[in-house]
Amino acid sequence: MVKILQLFTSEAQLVKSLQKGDAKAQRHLYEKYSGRLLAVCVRYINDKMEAEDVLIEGFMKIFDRIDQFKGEGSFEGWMRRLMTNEALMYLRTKRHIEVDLDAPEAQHLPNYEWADATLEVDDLMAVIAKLPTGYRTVFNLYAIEGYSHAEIAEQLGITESTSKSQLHRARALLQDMIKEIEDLNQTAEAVKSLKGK
Amino acid sequence: MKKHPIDKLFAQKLKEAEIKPRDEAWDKLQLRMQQNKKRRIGGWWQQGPWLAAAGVCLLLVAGWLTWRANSSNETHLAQHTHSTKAKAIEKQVAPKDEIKMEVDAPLAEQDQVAAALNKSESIKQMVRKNTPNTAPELKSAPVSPQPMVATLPDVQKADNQAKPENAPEPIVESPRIIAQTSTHPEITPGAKTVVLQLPELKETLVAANAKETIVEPRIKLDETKSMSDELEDDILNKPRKSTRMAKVWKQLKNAKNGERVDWDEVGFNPNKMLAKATGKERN
Repeated sequence: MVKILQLFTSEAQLVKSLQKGDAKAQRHLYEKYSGRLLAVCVRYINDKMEAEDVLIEGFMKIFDRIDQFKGEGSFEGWMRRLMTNEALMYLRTKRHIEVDLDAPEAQHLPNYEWADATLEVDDLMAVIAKLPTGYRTVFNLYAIEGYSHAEIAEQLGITESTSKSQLHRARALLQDMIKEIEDLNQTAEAVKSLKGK
Repeated sequence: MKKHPIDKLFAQKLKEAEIKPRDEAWDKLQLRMQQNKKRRIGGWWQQGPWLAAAGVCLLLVAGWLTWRANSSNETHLAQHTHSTKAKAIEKQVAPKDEIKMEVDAPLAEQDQVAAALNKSESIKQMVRKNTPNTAPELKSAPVSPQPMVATLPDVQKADNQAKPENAPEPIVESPRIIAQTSTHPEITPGAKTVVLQLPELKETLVAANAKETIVEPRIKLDETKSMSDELEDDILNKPRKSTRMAKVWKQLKNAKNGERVDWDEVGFNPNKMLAKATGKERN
């Protein structure tokens, strides 16, 4: 591994080697980015096995279309976009992205005073996984990938206003769930401290 | 635009999130990549059935073309050998022409010619004597086989009746002349007709000359037949030897004759097919 890492010190070098179809470079890229890219896939597709299949397809596309990467913007950003598109395509073909318009609004007013430090990545992943597919997809695209509503509307074949409303509802649901988790964590800590006494 | 706190939270935490794929995932990816490569490389190969069909079609067309080319070669070859034969015939005919020249032309030096006309042996002697003298004259008016051939169609029909009568007679004489004039042992039928004219010559020289030109086409026909037979025999016999040397030898011969060299023969030996086809035709 060390040897391989030494070979591709700069991203430009790595890309160049990938464009030549260098197997070592491909392996290196996979080692370096598969974890992050699988996290992207899992955010869209809850099932890890399915997400892995999408990851593999995504890597195939990355290796295939490496020539299309012109060095504009970050290489990782380019790969993430490819992987996101792959995940969306999977969702489109395997399942329908139901746009849950009639899902209940979050009842309470947003309260932003949570101690986010206690929330772990796994918690957040679990929370996102609980969202309905439509909410989850829009939230992922908007909040994490940084797409605009116009882009999301185009990608998913929905209107911008639908995208916006989906995002609002997703946020509200997430907030509720995070609250629950925090409450649970607090009670767990309280129990711990009681036991300690 | 200020980011929503929830968006911020998730973006911060999840952007760097990593979920390690199982080890099998890499192997799966490798396998998929190999499949992809194979699919790319073997793209045309995967069209196996279509390719096979196309191959068979190509083979049929190629076979038909070579067969046709070969059969046309046969006639071509026949014509070719005919011209060489015609030269041989010319040799035989030459004396007659000389005689004619002598008879017609006032140049005839000897009175014996008229008397000699009735006796073939004396004619021959005369011819032999005269050839050196008349040689220049002959050169000025050379007897080429082609003009004879050109006159053929007109006279052929008229003299067809005469030919059958002549045919059986000279069989005995033919071998001798053939031995002298031709290297092909199978020319006999053609040679026979040529020889036929000799006895007639003795009787009426002018008529004989006329018939010579007439008989020529028949000779040609006979020869083409005999030559094609010969060629068929060649084709039938050579593959049976089927040694590489024989094949190469044949190609060399083709090249020497200025014919198309059949390179396919080295590959799948179309000659066997050809031999079958021509053999059937023959039957």
